[in-house]
Amino acid sequence: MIEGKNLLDAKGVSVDFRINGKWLTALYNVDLAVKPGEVLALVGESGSGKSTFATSVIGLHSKNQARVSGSIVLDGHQIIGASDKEMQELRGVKVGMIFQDPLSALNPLMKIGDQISEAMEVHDVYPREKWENRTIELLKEVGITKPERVAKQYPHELSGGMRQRVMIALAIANEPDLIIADEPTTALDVTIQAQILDLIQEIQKKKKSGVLLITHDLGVVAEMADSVAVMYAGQIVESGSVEQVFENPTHPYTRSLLRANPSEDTTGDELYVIPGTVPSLADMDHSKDLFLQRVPWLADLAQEKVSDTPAEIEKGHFVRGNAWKDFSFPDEKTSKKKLKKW
Amino acid sequence: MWKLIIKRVLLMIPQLLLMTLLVFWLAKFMPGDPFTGKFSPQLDLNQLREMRKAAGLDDPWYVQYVRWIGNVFHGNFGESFVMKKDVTTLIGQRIGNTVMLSIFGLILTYLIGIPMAVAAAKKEGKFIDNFFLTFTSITFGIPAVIVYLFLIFMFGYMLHWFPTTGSVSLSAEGPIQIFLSRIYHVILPATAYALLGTVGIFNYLRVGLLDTRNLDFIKTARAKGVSEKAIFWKHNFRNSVLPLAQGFGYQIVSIFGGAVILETIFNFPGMGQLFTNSVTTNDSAVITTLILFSGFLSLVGAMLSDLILAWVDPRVRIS
Repeated sequence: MIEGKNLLDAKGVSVDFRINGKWLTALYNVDLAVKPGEVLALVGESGSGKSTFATSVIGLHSKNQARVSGSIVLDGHQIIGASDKEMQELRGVKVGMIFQDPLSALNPLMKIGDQISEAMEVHDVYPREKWENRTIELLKEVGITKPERVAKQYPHELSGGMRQRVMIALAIANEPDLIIADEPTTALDVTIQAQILDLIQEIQKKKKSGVLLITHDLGVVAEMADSVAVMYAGQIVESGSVEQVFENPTHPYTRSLLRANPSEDTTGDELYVIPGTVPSLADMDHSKDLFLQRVPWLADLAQEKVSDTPAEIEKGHFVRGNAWKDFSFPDEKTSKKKLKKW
Repeated sequence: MWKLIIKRVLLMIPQLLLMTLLVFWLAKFMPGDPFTGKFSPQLDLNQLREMRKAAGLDDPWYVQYVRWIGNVFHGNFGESFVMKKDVTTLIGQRIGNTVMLSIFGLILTYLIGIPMAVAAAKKEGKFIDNFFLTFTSITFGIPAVIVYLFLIFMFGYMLHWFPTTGSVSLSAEGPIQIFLSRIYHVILPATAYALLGTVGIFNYLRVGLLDTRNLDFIKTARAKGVSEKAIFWKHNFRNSVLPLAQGFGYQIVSIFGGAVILETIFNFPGMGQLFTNSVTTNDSAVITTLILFSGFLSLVGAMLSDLILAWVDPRVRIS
């Protein structure tokens, strides 16, 4: 890992969506960095803005419906404000993306082989005569046993796990430096999930690529990631290395998430449930610590304004707001010690 | 694919049988019979009865049906008592005209409808989109007759660009001249049909293009770095055009149905005009044959649609 130079450097990224004629902020002032060869996990519940961020990195927000501001630098290229042409050259070559549902993410009318070679066709990374061989090689690489046959098949003929393998082959066709995996196992059978994660990890190690892994599965984070950023309501509330965040979870949201996650230690106990839901976009006041709305015993703190600059509580471990100083669960039997399991 | 074709053809046999039964009964229910026209004060009723008996009209219905179906299979559809000609001859004279009109009509429909939908979808909500939407709503709302009459009036009587009647000029000599004259005669009715027929194609394709645009695999293509132009044609259009390909079989049928009004108004000697004429003169043998023919065409159209869909959509072909 090269210190200092980041593969992906996002600073102050905000995304506004136009909904019924009004601009609503879905992502607010997000700072994130992925170093070459690093796996960064972006966690948070549904609607927290994880995918919105990933979509910004690959520049796929519709210009009419979304307004992206801030700075996203990918391997020296500024993505925000880049032209369609510039983005087309970056996509697939610098950054590859693995989507959630491999069935809908593959074109139903195109043969698998054609879909993979299309990724090479649109860039000049590999010469024409290599496309066919490389397609087969890629399929082999993602663990497909009969690559020649699968290349001639259509998506609906493959199982979910196979399709996701194909998606991975597609994403790495041009050996991108950064792979974005947007909940790559959510749509898959539980028995397949581990295989796909292993595959992503194996490819990441072999190619030394950076990975931005979006997930809400904390077990996956602990197993795969080097660093983690926890998102809530369009903001990053806590970030740091996996060890820092899991051993010393600090922000109330991180602590609640970990507490709500079943583990060996909590067998037989009633699982903690975070009350309430993520506020709707229209109700998000990003100057406050929005999670505190869901901590009934800290209701008075919920109205306090919060600085946009997070506090660095140890080197590389950032926490947003001040509420963490006062936060404890009402029955603080489950102290940080017990949570350490994660 | 071959298995599917054979399966689909075999499936047509019971459908055909059922259809012939229906048509047969329908014909039986029609008032009068082939001898009604011979009715006159000079005619002896007993003689008429004898004639009916000799023609087998007193036999039980199933005997009549089997005899009729046997004749149909041998290409014998009976005789028109109005025109005193074999129905086969009558239809044979006109089928070429209708086929030509259909082919031109269909080609024009797709040639107008597809670019309209593409232009509208590319500029959704803009002027051109609204313009085409309004245009198709209007053509959908106005009765075909009025549009046809207007076109005849405008381009036939006022501007004299196109002939307003017939399928070929009597002064045309030699195969090339005759062929060109036939095309010349077919242009106006075919355009008229196409103008009204585009509404279905336009709406199907436009909505398809707009829906497909937001699907995940389009996002995947974009994430691969595919250009917007290639995404539109290779991914979006190719997927959106499927329902049109499927509808093609039915289009063929509907143009034959549409020909009834179209040919009558354009005074175009095709099967549609023949149908209108025989209905007004109660020419039962011709009517029955034409209904049988259009029913047969529907079955073929449905089969064609299924086969085309299987051909273009691997999800249907390989299951």
